[in-house]
Amino acid sequence: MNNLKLRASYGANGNDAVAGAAGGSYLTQAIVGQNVNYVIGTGQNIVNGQSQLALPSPDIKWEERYTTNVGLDLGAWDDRITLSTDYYISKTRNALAPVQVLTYLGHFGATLFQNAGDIENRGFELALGYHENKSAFTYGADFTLTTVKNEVTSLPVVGQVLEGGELLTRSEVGRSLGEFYLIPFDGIFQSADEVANYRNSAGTVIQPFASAGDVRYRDTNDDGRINNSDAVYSGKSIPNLLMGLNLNAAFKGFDLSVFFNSVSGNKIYNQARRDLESYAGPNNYNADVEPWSPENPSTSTPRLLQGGGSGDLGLAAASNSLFNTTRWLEDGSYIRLRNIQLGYTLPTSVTSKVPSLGSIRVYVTGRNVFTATDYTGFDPEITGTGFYSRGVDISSYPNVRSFTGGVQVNF
Amino acid sequence: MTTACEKDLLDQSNPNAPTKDNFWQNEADAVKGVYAAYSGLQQFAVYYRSWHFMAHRSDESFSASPFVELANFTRFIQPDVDFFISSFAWNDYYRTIYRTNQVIGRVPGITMDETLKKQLVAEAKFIRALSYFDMAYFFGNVPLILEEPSDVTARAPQVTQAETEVQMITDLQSAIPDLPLSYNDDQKGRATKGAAQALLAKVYMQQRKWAEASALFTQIAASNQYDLVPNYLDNFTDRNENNRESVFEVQFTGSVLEVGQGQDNGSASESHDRPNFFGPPGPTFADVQPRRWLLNAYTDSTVSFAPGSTTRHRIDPRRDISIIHAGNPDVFYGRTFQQWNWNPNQQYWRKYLNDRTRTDENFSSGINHRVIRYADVLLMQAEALAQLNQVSAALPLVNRVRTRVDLRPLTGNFTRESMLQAIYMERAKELAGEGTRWFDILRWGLMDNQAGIDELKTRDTDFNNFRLGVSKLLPIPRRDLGIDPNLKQNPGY
Repeated sequence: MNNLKLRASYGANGNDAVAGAAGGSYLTQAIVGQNVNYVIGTGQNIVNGQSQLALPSPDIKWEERYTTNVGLDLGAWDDRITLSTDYYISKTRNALAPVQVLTYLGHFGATLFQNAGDIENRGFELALGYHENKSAFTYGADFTLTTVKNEVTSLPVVGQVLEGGELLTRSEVGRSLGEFYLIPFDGIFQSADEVANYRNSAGTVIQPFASAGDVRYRDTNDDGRINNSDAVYSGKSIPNLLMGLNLNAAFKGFDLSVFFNSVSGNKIYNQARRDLESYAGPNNYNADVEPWSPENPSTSTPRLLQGGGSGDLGLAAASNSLFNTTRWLEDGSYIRLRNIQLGYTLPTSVTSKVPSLGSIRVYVTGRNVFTATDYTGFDPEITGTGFYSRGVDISSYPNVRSFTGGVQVNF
Repeated sequence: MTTACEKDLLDQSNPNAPTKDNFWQNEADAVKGVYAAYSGLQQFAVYYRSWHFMAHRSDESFSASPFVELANFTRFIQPDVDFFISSFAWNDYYRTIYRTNQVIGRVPGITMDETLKKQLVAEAKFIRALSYFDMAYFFGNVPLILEEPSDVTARAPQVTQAETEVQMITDLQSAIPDLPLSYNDDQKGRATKGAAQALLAKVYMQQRKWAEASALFTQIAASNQYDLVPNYLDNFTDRNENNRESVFEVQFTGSVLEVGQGQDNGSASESHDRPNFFGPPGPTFADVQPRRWLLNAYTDSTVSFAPGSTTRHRIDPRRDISIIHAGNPDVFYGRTFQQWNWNPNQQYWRKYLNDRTRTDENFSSGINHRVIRYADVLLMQAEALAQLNQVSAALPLVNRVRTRVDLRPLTGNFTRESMLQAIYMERAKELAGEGTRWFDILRWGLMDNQAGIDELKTRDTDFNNFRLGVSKLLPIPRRDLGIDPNLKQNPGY
């Protein structure tokens, strides 16, 4: 053992990065709108009206982040093995967030910057390395692991729930930020008997308009019908485990490095799939749609029933195309070969023949070569649609796979 | 080196953008505040667009729109409680109310002409009452907010329909004495005493307080301000707006293009959007159409609830002004029904269209929306009198509406019940497509029991999906339910 260090740190910093127009703008004062006009008189002339339209954020301040760290650094066997572990607690107080404003207050706009509450992230970090660079063949491996437990610890109003992301997520005290809040998808009815026998505890047929091939939802509140009151917390959008593995080796001018990373424990709402497969309207469907039919009794895709019919057909179509259900929620875990690079540096015996030439290295690089995931959208590594809805995939442009070759010349 | 400064030096006001604390200073500010409140009525989800879709869920209309969620909305299928028609209405109505609350709270503190001050506050109270009228009968249990919120943490109590009615009555009773009987030409369109009396009477009508309503209608008639215009068509075009028949109109002009939902904060929209959706396919989106029974009612006395119909000496002229159909010989947007090659089994709304002056519709119609017109007042008075068993007093009012369009007056002996049925039929034909029918079938109790729903189903199969105790009210958007834990969703959603 050649290095052993016990570390502890505590830090506080501020952050004023509000998102939004002009790099983060917000109303500091109760501005009166200047062109709230109307039409008056026989000549139908436009007259100027003025009124306050939006509530301001007059007293917001920097959010504060307090980070506590306890860690251990260890090096052994001439630093061939390195280990660094940390337990961290990061508390954000007075988090600056675009808080949804009660509509009935008359506010123009949906959100307002506020110091909205406290958020805590805690977890464990580990970095384990093995490096052999004392011989001609050098190689090494670095493994990193981070666990995250994200929790909203306070909101301005007791009992408050912040809805987000097309109302697909909720944030409340004791939960992680922007957890999915959806009606549970419970498969496909395979027969009329299944429809008739799908009852709540009082004996009410829960989806009486359904037929074989329609979507079944779970009646979580046992009231004998499916509606928004059946939505339940359905998964987090923030992963609870992130891992990375970097491998490298070099021998006689050749060098190879490979980097994998992975994310797990999070869910993604696949909005593109919802738009293509919900059959809500006369829109495009995906080409390989395999709807339920008596011959093809799917357990995941309902019968092809376009919305707009009357009576039971209309109700069934509307029910099948419900958007706030776990039918569109998928596991967001993935492992990705993010980067691989192979290089060769020409020996100095060759390059030294040219005056003032330092070195020449040729290399090929592949990025995003390979991804293992069950997620069916373009890319599980999504940016999300906002503060409360980072797990909502609106088919943002995916990370591209690229292969590049290059020559590095130093003089 | 740094020096300290007074903290309030940092709170500077921008001379280009007055704030609530340095606005509301003088008479001009007060007038602008009231115009802004009126402007709330032009918003997307108020009379610009959503109101019409909400009101046309009644049995006179249906939707075959390819926008399925929209069509389903009019069929009482709304799996998404946040569907934009109703959720935007919740937003925009409360934005209007916010503007009225600013006027009502701030204007009394301004030093200015006292008569005008009272009038401005009364106008704001009228607009607030009109907003709550729609909220109460579309959403039912709504937050009653009567002051501008101090900040975002402000909350308002959720009240019942009956409690909202009490507030509307309070506002209108206090507004009536302070509103003028009429305005000069350059101010026409603002709320008059008659408008407030008529709206108050409409609240009483919904409460089935016939005597109270009738007394107000009597006052409106005695004011000598209103009459039926000779030409029925003058109620639905942009010529001859704010005429003698107009009790209250939301003003629109077609000269300013639409800019989008709730945009009345900057380059505002002053135009009306209804005709783009409520007309024939091609020139309009044809999202909402009249039911066939209504078309037939103008010629067919076998419609189930029309025992009062009499033979006509010719076709009811209101038919072809209200509805485009294969038998309507007029030219629409430059072509006849047959030249357009429209489906002869279909019929389309014609009221409020610009079909006589344009070749198609866009998002900027200039036609004012008639919220209350005198024919409606006369028929409501007839209904109130009939309910009070004053059948012989009711009959001439119905006949006044009929003879304006050259129809033969109804004659004969009416019972209270047969008089009411004749009035109901006359309302259907006179006010076809104007959106009043939602409030009518609500008042007539047809949405309160299975027998009523069964009757509505015979005219509009959309009512097959109507759920008693649920569908009468729209769902409250989820966002507010999440933020205000005391706010409760309407039953069944």
